[in-house]
Amino acid sequence: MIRDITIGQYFPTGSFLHKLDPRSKIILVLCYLVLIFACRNFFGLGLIVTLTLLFVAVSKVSFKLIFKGLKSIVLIIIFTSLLQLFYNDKGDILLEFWKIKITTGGVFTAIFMAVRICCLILVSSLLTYTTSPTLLTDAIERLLSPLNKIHVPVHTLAMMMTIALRFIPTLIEEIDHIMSAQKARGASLDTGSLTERAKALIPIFVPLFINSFRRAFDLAFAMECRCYHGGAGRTRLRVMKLGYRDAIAFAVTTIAIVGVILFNIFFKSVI
Amino acid sequence: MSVVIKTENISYIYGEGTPFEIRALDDVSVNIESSKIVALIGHTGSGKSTLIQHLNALLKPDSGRVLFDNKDINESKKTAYDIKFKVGLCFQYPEYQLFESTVFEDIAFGPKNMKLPKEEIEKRVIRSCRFVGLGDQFLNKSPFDLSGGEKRRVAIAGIIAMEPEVLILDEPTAGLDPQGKEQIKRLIVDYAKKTGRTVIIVSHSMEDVAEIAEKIIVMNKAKVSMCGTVDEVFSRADELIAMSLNIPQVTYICNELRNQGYDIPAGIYTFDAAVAVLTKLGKGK
Ligand SMILES: Nc1ncnc2c1ncn2[C@@H]1O[C@H](COP(=O)(O)OP(=O)(O)OP(=O)(O)O)[C@@H](O)[C@H]1O
Ligand SMILES: [Mg+2]
Repeated sequence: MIRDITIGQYFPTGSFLHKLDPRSKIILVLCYLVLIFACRNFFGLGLIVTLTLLFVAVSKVSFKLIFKGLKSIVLIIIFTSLLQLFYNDKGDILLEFWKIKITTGGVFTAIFMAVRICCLILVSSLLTYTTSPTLLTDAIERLLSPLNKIHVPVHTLAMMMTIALRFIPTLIEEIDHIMSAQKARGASLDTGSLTERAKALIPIFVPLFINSFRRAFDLAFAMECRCYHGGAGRTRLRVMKLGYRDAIAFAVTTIAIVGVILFNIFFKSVI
Repeated sequence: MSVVIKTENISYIYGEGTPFEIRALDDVSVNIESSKIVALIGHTGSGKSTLIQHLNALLKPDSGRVLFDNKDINESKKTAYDIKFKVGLCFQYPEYQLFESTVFEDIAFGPKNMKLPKEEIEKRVIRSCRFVGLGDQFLNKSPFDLSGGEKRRVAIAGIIAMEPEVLILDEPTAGLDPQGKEQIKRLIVDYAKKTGRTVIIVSHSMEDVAEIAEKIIVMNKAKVSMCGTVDEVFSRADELIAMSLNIPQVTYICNELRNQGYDIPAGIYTFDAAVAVLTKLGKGK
């Protein structure tokens, strides 16, 4: 069902990762993303996989759920790996038939690609699994606040993002509800020709748009009633502070960075 | 009396395998007899809406069966689709699901999906529109120009036009003014009387339930905790109150008067019955 989508959801389990400052989480995730692509041999890759699994374990979000999220991108992973396997002709030839050559370079790149994409998705989805959307946008707003100086409306953009994120579950719920209601009147969404299926979307999207506009007006009124007037002079209820947890996280990341760099220097790169 | 819908030990869990797992139905078995008005009551979150969505195969039970005329409605895709026309379900706040450009087209959506001939569709639309108390002049209006109560009636007409054997209404009077509530209530009673079909109504108003229902099903924490006639259910006031439910206010008053020594029989659930008893009492003096 449409509600089963988990990527981008927030799972409050109260773990170590949840208690990290969202700003450090964003910076650290960016570091790891760079690191994932910087490592060039299996020692570095091993380190990264270990760390990723460690983070997953520390987050206390159930493995089953996290790997369910990975399932939806399995096709992409297989496709890119196969592409690498067939088109990379570096290294020794392992197998040759007709026009296809499979080389060690191809195999290694394929493995690297698959593992990298998995780690990439896992690390970045851990960010949303462990940070509530409001905190996340709040952190982005603060990290980007220097841009205010060159007249980028950071607060407005962050507020738009908060609202958008906030309403994703509401919209999903609403679509679910409208779909049920129209199905109860005999609408069939998964049968018929392409045009019939496209037409079947009308009874869902018309009410969805109408209700969204209604909701947008309501929200705007409610914000005005609470004297919202943009970011200028706004104080915060929750002031973000870096703590010992952030220090630990930064230390772990620094070690990982140094590790990958050393591995890259001392061992031969395989891709 | 014959049983139209029967659920056999159905259970349903929302979000199975996630941290947000909620058991919304737990081993629920109920019988819905034909040509009765059945009321479904229960504290908010007790699983009423979930249960009724099982009765027309919108939700499939995780375990257990739902039978319509003794046939499993989830047997195949086709039976699960066809049941929608036999068991018409009108959701809570149905006015937010209107989408067509005219009232006529919107009411015709269900009958069109039934692949009925054009004349029949037209007949049914006009009939159900009149039935819910909207004049023919409404048929060409845009549903979005109507008032909340009128929209609600258009939505109900859209279900009635499919002429389902069982009509299910989820809190049809929620958010309406007193007059609107009264009208919808009359409409339901009329519908049941005129067509002789079964109506299931989810309601939070004990007064309404006492007035129109012939059978009451009480849900509590995903289970059916009571099931019986108005008398059988409302005579167990203490248990109802323990479930954050209530008995009709007139029943309270009459019970209190009886405790004070007045000659008032037990089992006064409606306003009219109370008036009759109290007038008699007054004249007797
Ligand atoms: N689509 C859904 N996804 C997850 N949980 C749900 C969903 N729908 C309902 N629930 C949960 O299932 C339980 C039963 O909900 P249900 O809507 O059946 O209650 P209800 O008796 O109709 O309540 P109300 O009187 O407020 O309408 C509730 O705890 C609710 O939070
Ligand atoms: Mg409900």
